[in-house]
Amino acid sequence: MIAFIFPGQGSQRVGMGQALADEHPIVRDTFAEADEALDAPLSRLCFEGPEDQLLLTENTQPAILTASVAVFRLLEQLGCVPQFFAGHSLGEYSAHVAAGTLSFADAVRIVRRRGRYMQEAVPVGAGAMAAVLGLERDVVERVCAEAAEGDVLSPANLNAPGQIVIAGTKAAVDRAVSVAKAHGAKRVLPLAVSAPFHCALMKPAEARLAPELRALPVRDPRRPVVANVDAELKRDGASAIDALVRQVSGAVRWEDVVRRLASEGVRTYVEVGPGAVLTGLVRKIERDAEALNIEDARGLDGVRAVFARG
Amino acid sequence: MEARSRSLRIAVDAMGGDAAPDCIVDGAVAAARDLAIPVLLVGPSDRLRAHLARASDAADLDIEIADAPEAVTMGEPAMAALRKLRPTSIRVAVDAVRAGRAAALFSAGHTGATVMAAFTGFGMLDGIDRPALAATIPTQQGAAVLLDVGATVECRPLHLLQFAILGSAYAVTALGVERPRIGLLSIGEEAVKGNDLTREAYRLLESSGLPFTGNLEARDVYTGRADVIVCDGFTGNVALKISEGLVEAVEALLAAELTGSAAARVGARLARGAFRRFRHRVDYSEYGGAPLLGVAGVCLVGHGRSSAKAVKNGVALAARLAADDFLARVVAAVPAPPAGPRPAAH
Repeated sequence: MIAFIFPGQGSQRVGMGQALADEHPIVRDTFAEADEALDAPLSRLCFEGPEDQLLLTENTQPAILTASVAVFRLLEQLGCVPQFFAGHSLGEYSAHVAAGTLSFADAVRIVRRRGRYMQEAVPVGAGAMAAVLGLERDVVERVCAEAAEGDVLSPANLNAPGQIVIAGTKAAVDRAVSVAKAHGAKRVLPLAVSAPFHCALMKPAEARLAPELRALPVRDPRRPVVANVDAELKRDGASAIDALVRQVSGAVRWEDVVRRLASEGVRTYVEVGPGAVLTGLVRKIERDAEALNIEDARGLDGVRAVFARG
Repeated sequence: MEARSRSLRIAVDAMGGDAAPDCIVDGAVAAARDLAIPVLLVGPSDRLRAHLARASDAADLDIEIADAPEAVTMGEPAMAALRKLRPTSIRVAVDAVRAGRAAALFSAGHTGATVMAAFTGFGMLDGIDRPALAATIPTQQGAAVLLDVGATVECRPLHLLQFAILGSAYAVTALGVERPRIGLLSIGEEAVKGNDLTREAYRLLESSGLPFTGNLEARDVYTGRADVIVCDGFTGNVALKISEGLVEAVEALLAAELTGSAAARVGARLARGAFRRFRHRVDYSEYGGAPLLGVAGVCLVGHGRSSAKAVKNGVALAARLAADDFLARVVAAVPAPPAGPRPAAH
């Protein structure tokens, strides 16, 4: 069985989507639709930059969503529809557009506000994130408990074994660097992010986004979408939205998401959208799985070959 | 492991289509090269070999040739083309699939001849009496399957029930919908509206156990109220062609507006974008073609003016249906005959 997985923030780059847009009308049309929905030239930002504008969270989120949905629509038009969907953080919105839970126009507008609310939840510089390499999940949890000292500090992305991102106040994350090393972490890398995503500091953003998300028209996903917060299959619109709300301040349990897909029988994972971050993570989580990504026409052909052989 | 098994071979009617064999061979070569799909090219072997020789890597690709000296031309009546029992490319392609040399076939040739060749060569699936061509159309909520769009122009009510079963199985694979909602194309939404055919088909669908959403008026075809829209082949073909014609006409009208006032120009340009997007999505010919459902073989029908890219896409879709064991899914979906109560003769 095949799952489509959609990337989150961090996979953006200037020029994303351009190669496929040049060749496929449906990709171009999708970028044009995003421009119309936002009433802003998002497509030009994706294709030409400038990069500093693309890196603003409220631009990055709709940009990655659009680049991902555009590739998905192309695959769909070519008859390639998988049995399952999932996405990393923001990518969960892309997954729900692909599954038909959310309309693309609604999604592109809500992720722009999601980006803005998450940015505004914490003053710039007050929060931080860091990748902890080489420690298991329970050890990272102990590190967070020890280094918190009353501040917010928790695992934010459980990406793969030995690859966990923590988030919290700047002071707590700074303390965690030495605590993690004392517990045997191979490396602790501060991440260049503008806010501490997926931790309790995001509660104000969650409170602002929740009523807006719940007001969107939704349908039941046509195929199950595995949620970040609990790694459960979402089969109805209401629980899908609930998971998107909780995700703002909840950890992205990506390793659990991939394991859940594997337990459902998925053997092939296709990363739909810019970059190959999730492809790399899947290979770490499920060594025997087949993982592909689509950047250009060759990647597209690779995925189509997978569907052609079943 | 099973995921890395090889693709199944696809028979391609090299002589079918307006630009045959050039575009067809180029598309088949692209499918073999880019998608690693083994291909069986069917047509006059001398011509095909000569054409293949132009691709420098042809020898490295998994392409076989089956000789068929003749072809059905676009002007011929379908039945006449078959009755003569000529070794036409479509006929040889069907035979190759039946003999197990290929798993599915793609043809962009004469639609009537392809339907007849598949109907006589493959035979019908148990419990299905007539074939149906299934078109994928864009809707406000994604896409839907419309069938029949021209394989069976005269239908009885039971045929429409069978089309619903076939279209439903196809929608699961093509649209990814787990339990497709079925609508019956008619005039008026109430059960008593329509003609003898749709009223009786309504009754059959209602008691079939399928997720039937009732009658669908033509204006609801594109709203997405149903995932599978069932009608006879005459109605379906008219519906499809009217849609194509309307989009072209509106586009032409909008183009004329572009010479009007500044405000009209802006409005027309925006509307034109929306229409262009719609047309890109409605153009199923470019994206794989329409499967002929109900016959006991996987058969994809491409548009006569298929480009090489469209042929590659058609071969890919044929391979996808074959790999998905599509035929077995359809067979599993068809209730054991007799399928439901037979309607009274009329």
